[in-house]
Amino acid sequence: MAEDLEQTIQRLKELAGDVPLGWDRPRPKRVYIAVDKKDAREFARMLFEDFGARFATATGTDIGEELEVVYHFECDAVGLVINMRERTPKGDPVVPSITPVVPAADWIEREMNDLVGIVFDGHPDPRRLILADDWPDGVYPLRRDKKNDA
Amino acid sequence: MSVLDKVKLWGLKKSPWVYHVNTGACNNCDIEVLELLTPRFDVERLGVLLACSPRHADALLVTGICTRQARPRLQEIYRQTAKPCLVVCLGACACTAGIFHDAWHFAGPVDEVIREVDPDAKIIYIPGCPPKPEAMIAGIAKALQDL
Ligand code: SF4
Repeated sequence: MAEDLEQTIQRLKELAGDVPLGWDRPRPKRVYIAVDKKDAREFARMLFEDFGARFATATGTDIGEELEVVYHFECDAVGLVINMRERTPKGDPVVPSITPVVPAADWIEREMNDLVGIVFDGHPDPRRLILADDWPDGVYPLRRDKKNDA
Repeated sequence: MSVLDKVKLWGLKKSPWVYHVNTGACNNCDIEVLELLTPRFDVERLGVLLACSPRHADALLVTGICTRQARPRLQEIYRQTAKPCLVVCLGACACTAGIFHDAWHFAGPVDEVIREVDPDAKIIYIPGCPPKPEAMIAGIAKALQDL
């Protein structure tokens, strides 16, 4: 028999071990897992390869003093959404890229780099993706301190 | 108006070929443009043909706000069209910039961007988010009547 939601979560807990810093399940089919950024790539690899979740997308947010990256993974068989979140201080906006282990994260990491100024260490192709060619370097439109002059 | 201009206008009204330009639309307006070509609306029966190059176009169908990246490209496309050329601002974004009016990538409403190149450009507006295909047909038909 295919495993149900609780069994899936149990398996996830076993695979995750003591890597997560925090574990939150606000709704039955939603799990937020906070990880230290140094563990992020290995944790993403585990979710993708060992656990078998599908990479959906990622979100970068300026949350004040820190920048947050949330990678959204889905486990379609049971409808579970797993959000791996990591934080980094604004003064050191570097997090490891997961693109080497999850190739689909390529463009979304480049987009987060453009818009929020998060640097993905180890990204194979960190060129500008969606900002205009004449957009000034070092100005990140989705940072809170960026004021629209238009 | 010279005889030549009259002939040009007559040609424009008879069978307007349109070139579709997306200057930063969310893609929904574009889907509605495609809808125009499907058998249900079939604008080809009215002589409206989608042109593959702006040089063949009698009208530009512009969708979306004009982004910083698209601005010079839209102006270049307009320069390449044979005049007279209608510019159709399709959708709330192209007409007024809509909800994106103070977004960071916004580089001017479509009509202002076109008027920078040609102050006498013939611009028509078809509002809606996205406009219905019926509204697009009605808008273009009205514009052609008024030429
Ligand atoms: S008018 Fe509406 S549908 Fe059209 S591009 Fe703008 S947001 Fe999208």
